[in-house]
Formats: sequence, C-alpha cells, structure tokens
Amino acid sequence: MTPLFGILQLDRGEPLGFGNALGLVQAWLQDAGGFAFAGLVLYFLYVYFGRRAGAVLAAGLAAGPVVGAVVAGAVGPDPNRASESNRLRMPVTTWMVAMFGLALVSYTPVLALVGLEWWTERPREFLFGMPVDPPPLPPPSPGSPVKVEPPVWHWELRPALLTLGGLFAVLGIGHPFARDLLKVKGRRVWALAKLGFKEALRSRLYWVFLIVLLPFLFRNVWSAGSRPVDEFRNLVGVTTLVETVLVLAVAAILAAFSLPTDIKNQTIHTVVTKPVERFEVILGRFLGYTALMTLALAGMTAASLVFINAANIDEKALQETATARMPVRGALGFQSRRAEFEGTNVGREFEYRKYISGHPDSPQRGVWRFADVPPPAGRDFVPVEFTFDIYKLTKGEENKGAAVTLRFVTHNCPQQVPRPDQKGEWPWADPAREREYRAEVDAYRARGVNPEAATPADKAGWEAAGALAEKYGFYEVRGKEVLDYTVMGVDVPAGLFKNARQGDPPAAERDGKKAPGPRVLVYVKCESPGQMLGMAEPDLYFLEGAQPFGLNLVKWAVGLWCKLCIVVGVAVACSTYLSGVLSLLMTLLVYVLGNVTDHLNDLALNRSVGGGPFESLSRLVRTETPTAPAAETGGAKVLQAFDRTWAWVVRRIQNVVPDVESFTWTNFVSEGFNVSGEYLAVNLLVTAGYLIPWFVLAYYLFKAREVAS
Amino acid sequence: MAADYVVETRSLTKVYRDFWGRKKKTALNALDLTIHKGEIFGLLGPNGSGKTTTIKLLLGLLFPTAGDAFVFGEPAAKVEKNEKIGYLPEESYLYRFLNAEETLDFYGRLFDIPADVRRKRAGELIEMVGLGADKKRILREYSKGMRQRIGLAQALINDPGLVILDEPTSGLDPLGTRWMKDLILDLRSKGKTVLMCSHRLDDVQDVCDRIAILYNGDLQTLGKVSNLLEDANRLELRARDVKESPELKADLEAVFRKYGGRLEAVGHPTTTLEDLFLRIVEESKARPGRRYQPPAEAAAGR
Repeated sequence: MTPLFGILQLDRGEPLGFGNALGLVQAWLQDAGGFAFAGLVLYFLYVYFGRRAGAVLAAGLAAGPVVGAVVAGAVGPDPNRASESNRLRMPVTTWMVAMFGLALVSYTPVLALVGLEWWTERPREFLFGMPVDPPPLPPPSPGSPVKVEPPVWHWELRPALLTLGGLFAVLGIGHPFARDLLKVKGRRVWALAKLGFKEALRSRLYWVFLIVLLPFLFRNVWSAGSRPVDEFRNLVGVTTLVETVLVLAVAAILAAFSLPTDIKNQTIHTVVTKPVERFEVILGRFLGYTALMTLALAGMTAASLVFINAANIDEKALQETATARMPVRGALGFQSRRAEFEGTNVGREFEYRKYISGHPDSPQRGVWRFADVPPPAGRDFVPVEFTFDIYKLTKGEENKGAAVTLRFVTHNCPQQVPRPDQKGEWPWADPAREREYRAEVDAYRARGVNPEAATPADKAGWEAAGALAEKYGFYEVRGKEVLDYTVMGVDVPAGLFKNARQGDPPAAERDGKKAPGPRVLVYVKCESPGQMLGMAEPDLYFLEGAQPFGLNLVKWAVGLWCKLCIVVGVAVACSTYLSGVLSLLMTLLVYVLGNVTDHLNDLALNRSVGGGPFESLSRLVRTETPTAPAAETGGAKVLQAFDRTWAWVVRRIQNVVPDVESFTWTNFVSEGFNVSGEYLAVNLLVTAGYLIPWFVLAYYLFKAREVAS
Repeated sequence: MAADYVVETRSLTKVYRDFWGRKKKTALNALDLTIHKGEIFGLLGPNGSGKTTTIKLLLGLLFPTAGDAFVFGEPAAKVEKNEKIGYLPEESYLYRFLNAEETLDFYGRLFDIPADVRRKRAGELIEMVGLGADKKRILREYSKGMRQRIGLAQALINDPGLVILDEPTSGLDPLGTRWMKDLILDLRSKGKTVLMCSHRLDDVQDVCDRIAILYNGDLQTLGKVSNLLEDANRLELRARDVKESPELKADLEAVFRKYGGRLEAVGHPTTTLEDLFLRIVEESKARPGRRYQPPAEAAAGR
C-alpha cells in the first residue's frame, strides 16, 4: 500500500535560520492570506444573509458568482442585520471592506492567469515582460532524496500578487480582532488563566507526570540488544519520547475539554456575563494550560536530566553523544578526472550517501567546501569530526578499517585534478609553491621534527605544522584508519584558518546565484583498495566548540514547548465551536498530519513515484510496478485528473498543518549536536505565525456562538 | 430611550433552530418591555414561557432573532454594560473546585475593582450571605442553599446597578427564602433595580413592584402588582375585637343591602404558611427545648 501514500525520502538539509525569515513571512502571508480572504467572504455572507448565507454560497460556488448574486437578491438580507446588538457583535467596518476590495484586486490577475493557463493548456512563463513564477524545481530521480527547498522571498508576479492579496486579506479580517485585542485586560486574562491552572492542580493532575520516571525503572526492557555505544542515544531517545507523549497528550486533553465542559456545566454563564471579552476567555484558557504544562515540562526535563546524569553509561557512548557539538558545516561535492563525477551509487535503495572508490591511485575525492570557518584565535587546533560508511567490495583486512587521507587546503592553495598520465595524487595549482612547501617540510625533518605526523601533544611538531599551514594554507592527514559508521576525528592546526582568513576567495556560483566562495576545502580520499567510502554532506564538519549536554536538553525542551503551544492553541480554538471529544480528535488529526508533512508535501505536489493515490491503486490492482510508464488510455487520464484534484485538496490541508518535525530536536540531542539559538528563534517565530490564524478563527467562532443555546 | 429605563426591549424575538436552520420553537415573540430604575420587576410564566430566554438575551448569552434589547441604554451585545450588572443564574453554576473566598476573588478580578476594595467587599459579602464559617470549604462540599448564597454574593461583588435573579429562591428553605426576599427589598432601598423571574408566585407577590406574565413566548399582561391583584368588584373590611355571631352577620347584610351590595363571607382571616413557619422558628430560637404540645384531650389519653 505504500504507493498510496507516496514513496518519499527527504533531505531537509539545515534547519531554518534567520536567512529564511523573509521567505517564511511570505509563505505565511500567502497561506494565512488565502484563508483570510475565504474567511472574509464567509463573514460578509453570514453578516448580510444570516442563516441563508449557506444557500447563497452554495449557489455561488456551484453556478458562479452571477447566480450567487441572483440567489442573494432572492433570499434578501438578514432581517435582524439592522439591530444595534447584531452590528456590534458582527461589525463590518470600512477598513474591512476596503481591504477586501484591495485583496480582490490583487487576486484577480492571479485568477485570470490561472484561467488563461487552463484555456491555453500551457503555463505562462512571462507576462508583460515579467517572470510569472520562480524557476521550477528539478524533478527528483526515483530513489534519491527529495531536497526540501528552504523558503525564500520571491519577487515574481504570481507570488508577489498572492503575497499582496494575502496581506490585504489578513489586514481586513484582523481588524475587529485587533480592535477587540486592545480591550483585553491582563488582570482578567490572568484570573482566567489561574482558574484553569487551579482546576488542574485541584484535580491532582501532577501525579500523571510521574510516568516520566518509568523509562528509568524499566531500562533493561528497552535497552536490551543495543550496542553499548548507543546506550546514551537510546536513553535520551526513550526519555524524550515519554516526555513528549505525556506533555502533549495531557495538554491536548485539558485544552480540548475545558471550554466545552464550561459550556456544558453552564459555568461559562457567570463568566461571560461579567465585563469579559470573549477572546479573553480563549486567551485565559490558552495561557493557563500553557503555563501549567510549561511547569510540568520544566519539572520533567529537570528530572530526566538528573536521571540521565545518574545513569551508568558506557564511557565511549558518553564521549560520543553526551555533549552538544557546535559544528561548522560545508557543502559536499565529488570530483575526479571526469567532470560530471557525482559520486558512485553502490546500489543501496536509499541514495543518501554517495561513494568514492578506494585505491592509492584513485583520483576520486569527496570535497567539502566551507564558506565559513571557525575562528582560530586563542587555540592551537580546530577539531574536525567525520562519520563515513564503508562499503566493502572485498573482505579487506580483518578487524581493520579503511585508510583515509584528509587534505585541508585554503582558497590560497588551490588544487588541480591530476592529468591521466599522473597517478591519483592531486597536485597544487602552483607547482613552485608545492616544491617550496615540500622543501620546507624536508628541512623540518632534517631537524628531527615531522610536521606531517604531528599531533597537538607533540609541541615542536605541532608548532611546525601550524606555521606551515598558516604560511601555505595546506595541511594533510594521511592514511587515517576509519571505522564503519563511527564518529572519528582529527585535529587541524589553527594556522590553516588564519591563512583562510587572508584575502577573499573568488565568488562561487550556487543555484544560478553568486555566493561567497569557500575559504577552506577538505579533500577526502580512500586509500584502501577494494573499499568504497560513502559520505553525505552532514558527515564531516569542523568543531567550533561544544556546550554542555544539559543545556542542549533544555533547548530540546524549547522545541517541545513550541509543539505544546500549538497543541493547546489548536485544541482551545477547536473547542470554541466543537465538543470536547471532537476538539481532541481534531487536534490529534492536525498533530498527526503535522508529523507526516513530508508525505503530505509529496501528495500535494502529486510527484510520488507511481502517481497519486488513484493511479497507484490502479497499479496495485493491475499488479504494475510504480516505475512503469503510465498508460495513455482515457481511464488512466481520468485517474490522473482525480489525483490532481486530490493533490489540490491536500495542498489546502497542508496549509493548516504545522510542520511538527521542524520543532523536533531529539536527533540533535541524542547524537550530541548543539541546537542553535537561531533555530529556536525561528521555531518561536513559526509557532507564533501558526497560532495567530487559529486565534483569529477562535475569536470569530466564539464571538458568534450562543453559549446558552 | 428614557433616562430612567434600566432595561428596554424592542420587539425582542428569539427563535430556536436546529442544526439545519429549521425552526424548532419561538421562545420569545416580539417582547416590548421597559424596566425603570429602582424597581423590582418580576417575570412570571410557566415552564417554557420565555422568562429565562429573556434574561439570557439581556445578558448576551443568546442573540436575538429579531428586535433588540438594551441595558442602561447600551445594546445587550456590548460587553461593557456588564460592569453594572449582577447575575444569579437559576442553578448556581460556579466553579466547584474553588472555595467561597476564591470564588469571589475570581469574579471580582473580572471587574475593574481595585484589589483592596475587592477583598473588603468579598469579606463583607461572605458575612452577609452567612458563609463566614464555611469560606475555606470548596463549593463541591456546599449544600444547594449554600451554593445559592455564594451565587448571590458573586452577583453582588461589583455593587451592580441592575441585579438579575433567575429563580433566586430555588433550593432555599423558608428561612433562606425570607432572607432572600428581604435582601431583594434591601437592594431596592439602596436604589438598585432588580429583575427576577420565578415560579413561586408568593415570592413575586411579596417583593415585586411590577410584573410581566409570559405564556408561550408572548407577553400576556404587564403592570403593577397591586393594580393587577386588585378586585374592584369586591370590598374588604377588617375589624378587631369583634366576636363573630349570627346577629353581626344579619346586621352587616342589612348594611350592604342598603348600599346595593351583597355580603359574601364573615370569618377570621388566615395567615400565610410562611408566616406561621417563621413565627414557630423564631419561638424555637427564643425558647430552647420548646416541643410540640398535643391538644389537651390527647394529652389526657382520651
């Protein structure tokens, strides 16, 4: 059944940072703006036609706006529209109408463009000399990971108009909300928040959170069979999982049932008959439960930290993962004599890693290019860490890894691909400079100092290595024994980075745009014959420093806190209109879909191998492989049309589903990588951006609700 | 709207509909009503006549299908008007995990009352409703009457100009009922306006200045209680220290014949059961150990 849900391997790349903020804002304006525009249409219909709005909307959608207008004229406006109470409750301000008009003006060309494309059956690339859309993404090849493109701001016609229309629609629908927001009093919100808090405490909810201790009580059950080196990873993984489930499940239940219970028990009557804005009730509930669960989260994280620290863990596992490395990452490419060499595919189903052949004469290299480098000041060396996959073509030597050479060069020391008549060794672009370097190394050797085999412990040798690296921008570690899938490292003299900071590297071209060229390049070569060395971009990095594990766990908790806010916000928003059970189910649905956004993305773009669900089902029934070309029959075309419709529906659903994965830092913590403050700041920004539309929806739903009916 | 109208409804109509918008019931039909400042106004009617619906429309808990309602000259949908309203629902729907003090503090915080005033007023109200000894107990442990009392206290926490009471004596014993009625009268003496609805006609008769009787959503009658209850075709005479006798009756018949009337009955007036009960309770308090004494014949064993 997998094809029904799409086959997708995803390469998310680096988490989103400040550089993506503008792109995120544009995506938000387009998504939230689209919903805001639809919301404005529904709101105006409801205000003017009351309960007859459904008939007008149905007629408009089914038979077009003209028929909708005729039906609107026939049913007439809501007889009680003129009453002061109604106008106060459901206001239509001049600002709202103006913003709606401007949004309509912005969206109309886009609609016309869509109509034109549909009529001419071809997409328009330019209109009035302006590009219509951003350049399309290259289609992913089967089996290779789909690269998730980070959001960036687009100036092309269609995204610009959608952004503008979205901005106007958001400003329009947000007007009564913003106006009422000014009436919100902290004192009342605090009282309402405290109420929810007290209710949970008086019902002795805190006992539930002791479940977090269970993983420590039954450690043997879940840790059985794992390698000692994975002990810490597993402990962190299980603890964070239990904490996540506990926090989110309790938060969802509390928030989903709170308002419906208040309405059912009629306790809400004594609240909303006080000078309380309806939105204050929503905000109070949200803040109350968020504060309560934040305390619970803090308590559980502290308890987890204590127990993790107290646990008896394998020393190697502690070294490998009980830290928070701060890596400086580069971009990976592959080079050989063949210009188009992109690494070898060894036939593994998932082509995450590409491989280079091992041999002393092999010209194949994996090359990492670092535009940013760690600051060398105040240290003798900069560690570099790597984890490689070794794919054995021959058995090799018993209990020995592959020999790997790592060459570190700066932009001041360019390298050349060896000619066919040369062996696999890459020469320097400046042979005279290389000769000078070799002569200097030999001079050191003559004095009994070997800078090429020195370690930081060997003071004289390391000083020589540092001086050479600083002078020539070159450092090499030859024949380093590398074990399969094991975190290993070497130290690079700080002098190399001093050299890297001298002068400016020539600008590089990336995705058709000028980008800063690399200051440091790392050439990786496999020396062992019959071995293939597999690598992916995150496999090698410079270590700028490390932070304590405990701090990293707290940062993980910040990611979970964002998820907590989303769960509480969605549950409270749903509960303004739905019953407790339905609110809980809706929240769970949103959250679960938020965990499979990658697959939703795949379905939304209708780019699954083997087609969408309808075509895939047909293939399953006819026992066709997903990679077989689609039939050209009428039936197949109908199925493809269904798939396109389904993709449209999924795109709408996709826009209200949070990307839960982007808040999950468990892998960072369990693998020992620092969660950057920048990532967390973007997490908080995205959380706020996601919750605002839900709050606006909740505001309108609760304001329109008769709590006593 | 005239300045002394605290409540005004104009053709106020409420139609309940099902999920599909089909009409289920007209709960209130074009109600026109005004309530003046400082009066106690009673809404009467059988179950389903529209009393509670009217109150909920005034409070903004329901939205009118047609017409409109105003409180202190403001549309019912305006939240700010609630600053001057106190509301006691039919059942005292309060948060049962709070105690009396916390309850009043919570509701007090919803108003724009300074903290020291709020605390002082909460203390006074707790004493006023007689829950001083139980103020630390959570409401879950309260009897229905106690909950009604704390419910009233929360309705008065903001010193409201209009107090809306939905079945205020529901769940109260006769002592509590009398206490509630005295309190309602006291509120009027302080210049407050009271709107109450009740099934207990005697309560309404005892305290209300004006009443409206609703039936099936329609206003049936409206006016001063004294005017509505007056029987203009009959005359009532009361006398003290006169023994009932056939001669007295004959003389009275002669007098009434002379004036063109007819004597209907001569006899001793009866008190109300409530007065009898309260008198006995007062006597019991004054004389501890007081017990029921059977008639003399029963005491003699005959």
